[in-house]
Amino acid sequence: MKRDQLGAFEELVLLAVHGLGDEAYGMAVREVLERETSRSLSLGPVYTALDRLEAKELVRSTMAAGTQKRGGRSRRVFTLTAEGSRALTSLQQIRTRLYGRARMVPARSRS
Amino acid sequence: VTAHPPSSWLAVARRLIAPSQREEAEGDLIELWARLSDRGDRAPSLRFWRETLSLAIASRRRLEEDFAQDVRHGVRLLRRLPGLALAACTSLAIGIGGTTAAFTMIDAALLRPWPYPDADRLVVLSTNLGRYFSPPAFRRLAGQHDGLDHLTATEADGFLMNFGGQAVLVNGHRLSAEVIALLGLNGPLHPEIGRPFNPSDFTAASDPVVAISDRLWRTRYASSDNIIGQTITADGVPLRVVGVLPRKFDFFPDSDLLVPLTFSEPGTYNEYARTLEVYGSLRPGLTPDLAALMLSAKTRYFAPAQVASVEGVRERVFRGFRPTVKILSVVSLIILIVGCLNFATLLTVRSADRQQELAVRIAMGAGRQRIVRQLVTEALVLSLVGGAVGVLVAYVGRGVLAGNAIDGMLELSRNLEWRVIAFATALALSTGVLFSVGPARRATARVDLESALRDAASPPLAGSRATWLVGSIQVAFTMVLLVGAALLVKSLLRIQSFDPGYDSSHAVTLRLELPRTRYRTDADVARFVELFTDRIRALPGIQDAGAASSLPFSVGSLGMRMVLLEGPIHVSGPPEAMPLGWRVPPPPPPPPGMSDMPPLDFLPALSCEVDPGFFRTMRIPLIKGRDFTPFDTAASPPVVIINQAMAARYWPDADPVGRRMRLGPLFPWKTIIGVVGNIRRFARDDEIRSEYYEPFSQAGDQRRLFARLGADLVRRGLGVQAPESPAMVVVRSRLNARAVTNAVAPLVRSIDPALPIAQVSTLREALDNAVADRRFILSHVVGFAALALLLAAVGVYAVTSHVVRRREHELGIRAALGARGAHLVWLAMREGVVVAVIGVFVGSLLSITLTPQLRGFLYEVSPWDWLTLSFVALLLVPAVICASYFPARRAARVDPLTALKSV
Repeated sequence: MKRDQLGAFEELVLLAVHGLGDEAYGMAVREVLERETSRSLSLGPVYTALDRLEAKELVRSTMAAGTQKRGGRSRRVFTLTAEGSRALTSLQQIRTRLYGRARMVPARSRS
Repeated sequence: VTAHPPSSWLAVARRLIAPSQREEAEGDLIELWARLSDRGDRAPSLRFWRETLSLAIASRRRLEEDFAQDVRHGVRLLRRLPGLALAACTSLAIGIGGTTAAFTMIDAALLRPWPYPDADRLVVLSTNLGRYFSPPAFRRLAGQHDGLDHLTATEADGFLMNFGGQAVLVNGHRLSAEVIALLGLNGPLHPEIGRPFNPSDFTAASDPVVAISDRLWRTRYASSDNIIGQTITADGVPLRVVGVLPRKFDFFPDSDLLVPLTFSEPGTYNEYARTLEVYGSLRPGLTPDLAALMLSAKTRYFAPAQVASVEGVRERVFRGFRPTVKILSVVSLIILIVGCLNFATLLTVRSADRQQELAVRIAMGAGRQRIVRQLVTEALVLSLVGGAVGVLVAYVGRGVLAGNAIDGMLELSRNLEWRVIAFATALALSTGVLFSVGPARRATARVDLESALRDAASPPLAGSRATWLVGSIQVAFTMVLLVGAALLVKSLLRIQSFDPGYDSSHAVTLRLELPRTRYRTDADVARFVELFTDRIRALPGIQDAGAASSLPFSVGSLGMRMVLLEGPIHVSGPPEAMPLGWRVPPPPPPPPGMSDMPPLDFLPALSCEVDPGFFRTMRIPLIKGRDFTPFDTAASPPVVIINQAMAARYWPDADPVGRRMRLGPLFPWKTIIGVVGNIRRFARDDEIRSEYYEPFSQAGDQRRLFARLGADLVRRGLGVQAPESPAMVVVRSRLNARAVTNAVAPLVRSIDPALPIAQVSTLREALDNAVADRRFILSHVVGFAALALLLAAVGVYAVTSHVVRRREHELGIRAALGARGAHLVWLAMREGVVVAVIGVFVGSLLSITLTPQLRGFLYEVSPWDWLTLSFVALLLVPAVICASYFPARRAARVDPLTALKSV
């Protein structure tokens, strides 16, 4: 498995999981991403990304008891692994370094 | 109360999503609905279904990824090659390989479509007199064929051709005009180059034309396009080549020339020159039997040849080797069953051995479904590898198969076809799933988490009653194969030691076809034979030479004649048995003007023409009287020699030498001058028939007499076909066939430069060909039986060793309490012994029901030969017990301390 490659969407999902702490399950991750990106998002891709992250051992999941809101159905809660937080840190450093080099020019507005 | 989506919607959504993610997805959908209604969304249903769809797609994708992971896992396990996986793979490879090989043949015989239009409706007709029609009979039939289209007459013939100064006999067929439509010569089987026949080619006035086979075109004309329009000479007749047939045209397998058959001179044919095979295409909606019924009614008054049967061409081709295919199918089915059962057993043992691993995974939260899926995927990997190896085995074995197959049987299947590959793949997949789901479910259902995790003693899963039952079934089927194999070996040994009545060693045979155009009379034939055999005898390294019109176990012209015997005879025994497919020829009608004569007592006997050296060369003993000599010529008194069977049948208490016989009231008497030993003619297990021999020089009296008696009698004749003149020459020599041919060929050329040697063989080869199908079946059954034995032994071995591993703890306690080693071993192998005994018992019953299928292949051995049965039982029981004894021996070495400590 190519563990070092992380897609852009996967990175966002990983960040969302990180931000949600103990409450990172599928619906919650989607809500966060929808809110932050202001884009409509389906659950399917979110789960696909979560599964891939799990396969890359960047997150791990445990089953948690269901809530009343979910009609008592159990849910899978994701948490970052050490590997996962390392990946986020290194990505952030790369980004920072790269943004530092780039001369930020305001984008021309599209009218 | 929060809003809840309609439960029917949820139910539908559940179905769309893979089981392992159902609960989670359902929770998400419920939560989604609640949020949407909180938010006051206007179209919650739209959103609901969109999410359902996206979840469904994602869950499928996850399944796929799981599957890929399982496959990788399976391959990894396989690469580590635990003995069990290897054994499971091998079992399946053997099962699938055997079945695939058998399927290759069935495919060739039954399933492969023929290239001819409406191939399934192609039929061949036969009359009450046999397979062949006379030209007048064909023409009468063609005038009113009901139910059949494209009625075509074909006549096989040998054509004498000359390639580079060498005379060669080329096989060919003459065909009537309807063949164009019947076999699609201007449709799907249009010639590769050139044109198909035209209807005008079939008129008497047209130029003689010929279409040649692809084989002849490649071997003799170097695939040259210039061949079209050229003239080739066959049988002295110039023929213009109009086309080269496509390679897939194999309706007449050995035929290289197709020549139009014309009926230009009605007078030249008669009722009794029956040489035509008649084919047709069944009209839609008719069965062959129905067509036969209609045609036999229509032709009732067409004496003497009335249509008696209509048979599909494919059925006829297949009929010849149906028994072989049937037995092969049964045998390969058994090996498949044994292989699959072994596969299942080994998988069960394997998953039982991995119970701890599985328990850990379940404890870590893997669903049972997921584990089952993984086990099944692993099994699929194993079975596909097994299947691939099996196909490889079949591919390699195909050469072996083709090498000793019955003539014509495997000709069609030199290549493995996609159909065969598809068959093997389907077989592998279905066995993989079928025989792994059960063990996998059982393995996960029984995982007792706590004890498995502690690795404490749990009941030996693979030692369950079901596993031993499977073992018994395997042993039983193995027994069937072993019994079949033993019966066949016994038959073949009996056959090999059988005495055909002549000495088949060191004897080369040559077939010469003396063309009727140049060897018109029997004197011509006799002169050639005498000259030829004399010169052969003079060659160095040749012991003797003789000739006959027909040799045992090979083609030739052997006649069944009706003869009259002189004086009082005393017929003993049942009526003469006709050779297979022959009928008693009708007695000739009384000569004109003698119709008030009392009916004559005609008796059937085989007749064969020989030269004076024949009996000596064949080493057929002369029992009484004298042999033929060169002085028995056309001018001397006619003489015959009869065989012992004929002497015993008609003169049981008297001396036949000096008695006389003749072919009818107007034929000359022939004096019996000697009695020779019986020989087998057709099959080793055939009856011995009455037979008489006459010298080549005197055999043609019928022809001369017919000529004198007038045309009418000739036409109504004696039911004998137009006499041909094949001469079979036997050369007794210690040289091999090639050396003899090389020495003899110049002699033929020196006597008649235009005469080809049609065929070279040996007496031994002819004899061996007669048991080729037996040998073929034998090699298969023996091979499969050995494999089945191996598989059954491996299965029992694996289960026993698993049981020993599982019961180590218990055995250790017993050892600590003072149990003796022998007792421990017995405890471990007890079930193995039970399996052996039950298996052999059930196997005996199965054998008794199944072996009668082999009857046609047995020779002087009863299918219920109790000696064979007990021999096999005595072999099988110890073999199975051994297979469980070796792993059980370890039980005696169990160290009580280690066993106890492991609690």
